[in-house]
Amino acid sequence: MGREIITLQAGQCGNQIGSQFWQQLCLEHGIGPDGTLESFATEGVDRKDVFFYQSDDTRYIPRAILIDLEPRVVNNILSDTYGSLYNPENILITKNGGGAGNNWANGYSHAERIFEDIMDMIDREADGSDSLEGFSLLHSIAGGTGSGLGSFLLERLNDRYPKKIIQTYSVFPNSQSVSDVVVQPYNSLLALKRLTLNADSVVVLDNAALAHIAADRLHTQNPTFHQQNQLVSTVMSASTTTLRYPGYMNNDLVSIIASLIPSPRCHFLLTSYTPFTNQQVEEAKAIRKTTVLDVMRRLLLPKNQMVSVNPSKKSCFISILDIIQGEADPADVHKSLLRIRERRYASFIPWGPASIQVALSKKSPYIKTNHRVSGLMLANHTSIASLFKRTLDQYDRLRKRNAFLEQYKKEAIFEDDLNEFDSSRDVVADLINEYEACEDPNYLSL
Amino acid sequence: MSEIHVKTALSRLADKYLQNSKNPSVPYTIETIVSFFQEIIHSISPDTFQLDIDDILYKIYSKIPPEENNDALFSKLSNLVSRLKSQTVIHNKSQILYFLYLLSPISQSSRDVSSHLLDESISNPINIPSTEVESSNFGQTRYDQVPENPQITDWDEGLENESSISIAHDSSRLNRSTETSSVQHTLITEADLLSSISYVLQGISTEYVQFKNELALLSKRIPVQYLLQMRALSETGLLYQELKVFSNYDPSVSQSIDGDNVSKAFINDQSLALQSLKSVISKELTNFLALIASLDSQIRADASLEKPMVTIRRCIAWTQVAKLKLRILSSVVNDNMNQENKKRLIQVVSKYNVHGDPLIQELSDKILTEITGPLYEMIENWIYKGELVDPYQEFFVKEKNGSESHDHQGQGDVVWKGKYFLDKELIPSFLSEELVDKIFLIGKSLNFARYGCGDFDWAQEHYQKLVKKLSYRDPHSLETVVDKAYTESINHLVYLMEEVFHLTDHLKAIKKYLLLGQGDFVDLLMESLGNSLDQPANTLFRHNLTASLESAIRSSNASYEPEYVLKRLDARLLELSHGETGWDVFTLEYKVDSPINVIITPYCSRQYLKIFNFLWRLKRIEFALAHSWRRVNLGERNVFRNLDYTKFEWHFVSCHLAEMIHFVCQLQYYILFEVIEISWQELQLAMEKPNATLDTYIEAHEKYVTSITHKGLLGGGKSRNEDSFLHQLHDILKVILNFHDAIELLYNFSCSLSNRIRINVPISTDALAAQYTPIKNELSNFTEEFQVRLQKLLHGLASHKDPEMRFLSVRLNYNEFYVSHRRRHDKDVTSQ
Repeated sequence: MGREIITLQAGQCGNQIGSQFWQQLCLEHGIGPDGTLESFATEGVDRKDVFFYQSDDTRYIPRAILIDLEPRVVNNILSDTYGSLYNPENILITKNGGGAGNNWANGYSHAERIFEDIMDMIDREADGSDSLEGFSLLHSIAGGTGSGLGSFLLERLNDRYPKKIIQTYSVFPNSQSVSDVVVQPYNSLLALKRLTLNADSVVVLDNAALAHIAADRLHTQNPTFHQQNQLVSTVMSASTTTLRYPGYMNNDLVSIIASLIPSPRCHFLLTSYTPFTNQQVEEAKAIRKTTVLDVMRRLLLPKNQMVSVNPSKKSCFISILDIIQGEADPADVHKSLLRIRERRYASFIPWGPASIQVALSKKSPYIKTNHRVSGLMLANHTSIASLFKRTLDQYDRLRKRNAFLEQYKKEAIFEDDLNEFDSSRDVVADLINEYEACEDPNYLSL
Repeated sequence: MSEIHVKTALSRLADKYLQNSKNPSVPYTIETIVSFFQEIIHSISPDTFQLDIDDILYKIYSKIPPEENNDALFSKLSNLVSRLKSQTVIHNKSQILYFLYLLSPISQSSRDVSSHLLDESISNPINIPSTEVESSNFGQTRYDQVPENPQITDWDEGLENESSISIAHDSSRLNRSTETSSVQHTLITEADLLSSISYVLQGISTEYVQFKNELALLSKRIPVQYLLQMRALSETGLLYQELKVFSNYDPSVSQSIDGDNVSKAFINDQSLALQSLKSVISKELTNFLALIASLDSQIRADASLEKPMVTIRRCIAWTQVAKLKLRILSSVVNDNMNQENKKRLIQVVSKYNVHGDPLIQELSDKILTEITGPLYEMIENWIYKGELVDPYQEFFVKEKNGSESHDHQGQGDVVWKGKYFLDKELIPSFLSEELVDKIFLIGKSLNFARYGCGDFDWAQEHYQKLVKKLSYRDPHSLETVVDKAYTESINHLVYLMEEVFHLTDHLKAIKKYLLLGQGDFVDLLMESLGNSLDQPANTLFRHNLTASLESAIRSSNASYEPEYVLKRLDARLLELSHGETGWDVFTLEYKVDSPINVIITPYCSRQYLKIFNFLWRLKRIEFALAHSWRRVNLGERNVFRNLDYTKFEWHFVSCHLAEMIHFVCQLQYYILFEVIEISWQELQLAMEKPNATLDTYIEAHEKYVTSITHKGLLGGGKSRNEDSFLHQLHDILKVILNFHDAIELLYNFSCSLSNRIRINVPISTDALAAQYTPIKNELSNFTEEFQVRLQKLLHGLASHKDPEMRFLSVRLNYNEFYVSHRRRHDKDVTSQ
């Protein structure tokens, strides 16, 4: 039983997402850019201590550790509006570092060298928690730092804190277009091994889907990474609402993910969110009359999902958790659930009971939106395996030609041989098989 | 024809009569009989001389009783009459025939004679002045619309007796008349009767009318043409006497003889309204006497005139309206006497107020104006001060007997619920039900504010602001004042409950802490107490529970609650029994005192504890399952990933654990959101209505508590009932706990095995299997038992009459796993 969560922001992507996330949380909890509580904020409704601790001068400080192997992104964050929010002692950047060069092995080796410093920060944060529940790692898996250093962190957290929950928000590369990181299949595969073996829950966020949603919903042809990061922070905020506004259920991390993850390996979750709005465009419009049924149905639509997957005929939901915010009447939720069941908008596993679990969450009283109801879906769906399969296929094509392996061989982990690649491939292949097995009525006896 | 000839003829007739008499010993003399005959002749009204022979013959026919041999009789009579008509020597043929008719046996009865004359008078309107005719008809119309006074129906019987006596008297007086040789002096004239009318109208006995035992005895000496008129006047006198007796009746005097029962009988029969009625009657009688005085002076003045204008008939017309009023009053008095509940006088009179006759309606309106005076004073005391000033128990708001001494609840509850009630029988019909309810609530609110909430100042201000004289004549003022007082009272009670006693805050606090809405507090409390509650119940100490409670409060958002909430939250131990664990006896409690306990009653508090204990048990299962989930997933990461020996079993466990997690999550969601949250919304809607009252609060809250208890406990059946859903549910939760314990065994076994493998300790395969097999068997048995029990529950829920229960079964079996699972299971059995 725990309460506090320590957020680890690894690499460029992880820190950018984290920056958006902390800004969002400050807005929701009435915390100013310097961590001071705003005059309009009142106590007793929310729980800030899940993600913030209070310093001796009563400022709220994020329970966050910012790590990068090159200084540009973090320095930009520190010089921005919310720069003074963070604890300077929890920031670790390599001052003269040139980054990990988009090389997983490079990031992994760097992490090995600065490991003691990182663990000191983590240990200090853990000691400062009354009842630490777990860690939340923000990173991308396609580059070097987020992928390699992130993988190293996962392994060490596993050893150091075996009884704490490890959750990640992992941004997957855009595999549907030519990537500027040509070796991203190598990095993704290696990271996927750690995500499979050393994490309890992975929230999968796919750059392809994020770009698509941003272009479609925000009416822009070429969305910026900033806009995509905002989508991610929205998801992170929504998925942690029940932790920060205590209610009847889902008050800690285990109670959220336990019902979503019936089998330890199958812990890769996809998300949907609706409605997304461009705040500037929508401010002039009237409040939309979105209903609970609208929200719950749209969460099941592929276009609102933040993962690009290819469902097959046998694909099905292992479980669903809808977190509904705003003016949601339990009676309306009830009707929506019956409707979804009647119309078979969602297919479920045949080997065990499964359904849509609903969490009716409170909302920040300080943020006004143009929609009365909004919702986030966290779901475990067997089609997530198609994402892993694409990674595996891309890896196989590169590996077959022994392309771009020189940079990996320079690092200690690949000094003697390339067995780590083969081991990772086996783990991911097993993962794919596990998800496909979930579609079998006899899964219980496999 | 001279008097001598008449007398001679009568003497011969009398002589013949005596010779034929069968009773020679009768002490009559010829002179006596002759006088009697003369009396008969003179008693015939001159009006009858106008009748012709055929008219008289018709009347004779109508008197003959119908018999088979009547035809011969009729024929004979007709022949005789024809011969009489043909006689030229006889004059006054019609008078002779009528005289003979009067002597015949068929007309011997005085009643018949009287009746005949009565009919004669009525059927010859040309003999009566036109104004009198109108008055008479008007009076007749009135009679039919008012209930007949039963006392008057005895008149005929009295007349019969008097008639016999009158004959005796007449005999003696006739004797004296013979001596004086002046027969005409014995006749009673209209003037004689007129001089006695003022007494008759008051029911005072005269020589012509005797009033005894509520009966009027008319003298035989009254001429027949005046009998009906005197009868009418006598009825008025009877009414006057009856009402006079009633209005002068003082029960305290007559009741004093009863001794010990004086007080009770007095109160039962008395009322202020009755006293007002007597006052009204006294006034009416006084007005009546004034009318009589005026009439009497008119009669006296008229007596000296040569052509008198006043007649008995005119006197009847002049007193007709007054008589009708007396009759109505008499009817009211008798109606009230017949009522079992003597307090319902206002109800009795109100019935007359809807009469179509304007006179009756007007009089009843006047009566109501008077007799409702005390009622309106009582209403004023009640709605201005909240006081019951009701010495004779006639007000429709009543205080329960001995409620204060018998009730052990808080003062607020006594004042509101236990002390006052409405007596439906005493509610006047002219006050609408809505108005009466408001009046009732106003007084209750004043009492509640003063004695239940200690708010004396407001009650005083209320009186000074609203006080106004109320009256039956001004119903609009009553409604205005009541509406204003009602709105003010209800709003103030709501204000007291919300702003002074924080009712909604307490309801929210109960929802947070007893219904587990404050998730962080509940989790901390569970974490803090969990290990202690696993121990036997007798190892628990209250101070430890209290410490854990305070710690949970301090570390959660409960710490921001106001003091008046936190001081009511307490941890308590239920009564101990043998062999129980801490889980069975622990409970949270939210103490409620006066006046909040008017709404959150002790009964409601007990219901809250019931639902808390159930939710707390569910929360415990949730924690156990979360703990098991950590064993499965964190164990997989750290302990037994490479332990092939237990891999399959952990796979088996994780799937069935997920099944149980799904069940508990769905059940919790149903209870917490679809039962509690929806009921809470309904409660808030009811309490936020603009016209909500304290009773609205009480009713809405009781409905809320009943709803969440009944639905939350799956029908709320007693858990001792083996087939109740609640009992089935407890069995399922017990299986889940057993499964959790078995997972602990598997985890410990896996850790031990993993350690031994790592340090290369030799392991005996048989010894290993001996440890492992029982664990696997337990896990398998518990999962099977869980599914069997769950499917039984689902079947019961699916066929329940309550749609919400059926929906719960849909939720628990959303993807229809248990149906297809059973089919596959049956198929497997068949194939085997």
